[in-house]
Amino acid sequence: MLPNNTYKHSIHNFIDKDSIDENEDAIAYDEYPLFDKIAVSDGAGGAGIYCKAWANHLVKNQRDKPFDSKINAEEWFLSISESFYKENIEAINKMDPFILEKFIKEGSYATLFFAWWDKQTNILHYSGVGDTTVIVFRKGKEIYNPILITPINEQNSLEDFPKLLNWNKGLNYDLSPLQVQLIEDDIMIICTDSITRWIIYQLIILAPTEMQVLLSESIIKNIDKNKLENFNFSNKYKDVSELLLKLEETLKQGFEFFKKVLDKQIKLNLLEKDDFTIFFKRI
Amino acid sequence: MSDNNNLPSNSNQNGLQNISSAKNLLNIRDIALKSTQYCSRVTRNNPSAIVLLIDQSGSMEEEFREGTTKAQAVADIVNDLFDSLIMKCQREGGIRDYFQMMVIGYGKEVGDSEVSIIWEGNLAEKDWVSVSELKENILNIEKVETTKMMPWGLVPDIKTKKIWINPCSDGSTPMYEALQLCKEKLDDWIRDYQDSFPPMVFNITDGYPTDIDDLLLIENICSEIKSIKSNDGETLLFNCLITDGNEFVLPSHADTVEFEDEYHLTLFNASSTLPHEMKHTASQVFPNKELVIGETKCVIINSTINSLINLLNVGTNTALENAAE
Repeated sequence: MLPNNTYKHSIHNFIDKDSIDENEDAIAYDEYPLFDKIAVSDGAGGAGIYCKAWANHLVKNQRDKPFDSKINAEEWFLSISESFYKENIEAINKMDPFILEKFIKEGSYATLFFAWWDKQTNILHYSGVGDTTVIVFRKGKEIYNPILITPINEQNSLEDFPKLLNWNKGLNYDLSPLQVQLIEDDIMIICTDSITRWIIYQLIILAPTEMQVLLSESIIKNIDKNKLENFNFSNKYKDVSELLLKLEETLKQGFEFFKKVLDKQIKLNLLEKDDFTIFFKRI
Repeated sequence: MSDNNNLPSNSNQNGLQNISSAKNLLNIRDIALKSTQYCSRVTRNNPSAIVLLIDQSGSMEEEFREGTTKAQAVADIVNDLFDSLIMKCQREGGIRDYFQMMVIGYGKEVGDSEVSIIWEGNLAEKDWVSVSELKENILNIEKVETTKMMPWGLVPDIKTKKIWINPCSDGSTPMYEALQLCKEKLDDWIRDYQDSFPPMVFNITDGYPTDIDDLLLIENICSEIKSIKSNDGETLLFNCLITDGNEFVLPSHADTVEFEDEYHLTLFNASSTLPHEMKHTASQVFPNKELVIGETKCVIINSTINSLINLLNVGTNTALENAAE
C-alpha cells in the first residue's frame, strides 16, 4: 500500500511486446520511518542479455544509505555484479550455448537511478546513470516550476544513447550521491526515458525560461524541432501546475487508465513506444 | 474544460465540419512529422528480409587472404553474420524473429540449375528462414572452452564457431538468373509484409555474369528488385565485387571516372543509393566522414574482406537500430 500522494506504475511496451513479463524496467520503493528509498532502472534489451533481471537486481540491492564515497560505490557495484553472475550462471549453463555466450560476452545493460529521501531533514540524496531521470517541481507564488532535472541533462541531446551499467564491465561512472533540499509541497517524479522526454518537451513549452537553465546548451540546441512543434500543436495545459495535476489524476486512477493515456499519447506521436515507468510523490 | 483549447469549438453550426478540419489538420501534421522511409520499426510481427546472393563459381577458389579462398572467406563472413544476428535477437525468453533470411548461391550445379537456395540439413527445403529456425538448425558447431576476466576475477567462458553455409566454388557465374530468383522471392515476400523495414539484398561476387551478353540486363533486373517496395521504402540492393585493384567503397558519381571497367559502372548503376537514414551508420562503420555528404551508392568495387563485413554491417545495423526492444 502506497502512502497518500505517492504513485508508481511500470508498464511494458504494449504496442510491440507480447506480455507484461517483457517489461525491462524495474522499480522499487521502500518506506521506513525515517527515510524512503526509491530505485528505478531501465534494462536495455537492445544490447546484452538478462537486462530485465539485471535491472531488477540493481533496484533490489539499493543500499539503505547513500554511498559515502566513490570507492564505496565501486565496492557495492563489484559485490552486486558478482552476486548477479553467481545467481544466474548455473541456470544459464543449462541453456543453449548462444545464451551462455551472449551472457559472458555482452553481459547485461541497464540505467540506474537511486534516491534516498531523509524525512527528518527533507534532503533528497540521489545517484544516477543514464536517462532514467528525476524531475523535482517547486510551487512558486502561483504555479509549480521545475527546479531539478537529472541525469538526462548530462547528455548532448535528449535522444542520445544513454550511459549504462554492466555487471561484466565494472563501475565506469561516478555514483557519488548529490543532494537537494526539498520543501513541503515539492513534487518529485522519477521516470524512465520515454516518459522523461514527454515531460521535458511539455516543460520546454510551459516553462521555457526555467528549462534554459536546467538543460544544457547542447540539449537545447539539439532539441527535435518537429517534435517540439508537435507538442506545441497538441498542448492542452495552461501551465506546469495543470500538467502536474493532470498527471497526478491520471496516475491516481490506476494502471489501466494510465495505459490508456499512454496509448493516446503514442497515437499522437508525442510518446515513444517503450517500457514506461513512473514514480510520483508529492512531499 | 476542453481537452484541447487549440481545437476549434464544435458548439456552432459548423461544428462537425470544424472537427473534420481539425482531424484533417492532425493527419497532415502526422504525415509531415513522420520520417518518410527506412524508419519502420522491426518487430516480430513486422520482420525485415535479408537476401544474400553468393557467387559460387570456380573463380571463388582463388585466394582472398593468406591461405583462405574467396569461397571460404565469404562463407565465414556469412556464418559470422548469422551468428551475430542470432546473438542480437537472443533474449532470455527466447529469440525475437526480427529477420527472415534467404541465401541464393549461383555457380554450382544443383539438379538442372546453377542457381539455388543453398540452405542445407533441416533447412534444405526452405526458402525463407527465421532467426529462430537458423538457431535451431546449425550444421556444425565447434566449441572451445576458455576463461574471461571479469571485474571480480576469472570465470569460465566458451568460444564457438558455427556453420550454416559451406564454401563452394564450381561452375560459371549465372548472376542474372540469381537476381531473377531473388526478385521472384521478394515479390512474394513483400505482399505479406507491406509495413516492413524494406528488404536488403547483398550480392557478393568476384566476376562477370556469364549468363548474359548485355550488362544492361543486370542493371534492369536490379532496377526491378529495387522497385519492390514496402510502405517504408524501396528494397536496398548492395553489390560487393571482391576482386583485386583500387578499392571504391560506397562511391559517388564523381568516383566513376576512375573506374577501370564498364562492369564496375554497371554494378554502380545497379546498386541502390545509400539512403540518408543509413549514412550515419555507414560513416561509423567506414572511417570516412565524406560518406555523410552527397549521394553515394551501395556498392564496393574491388572489396577487401573487411569492407565486405562492413557493408553487411551497414545494412543489418540500421535495421537492428529500428528493432523494437
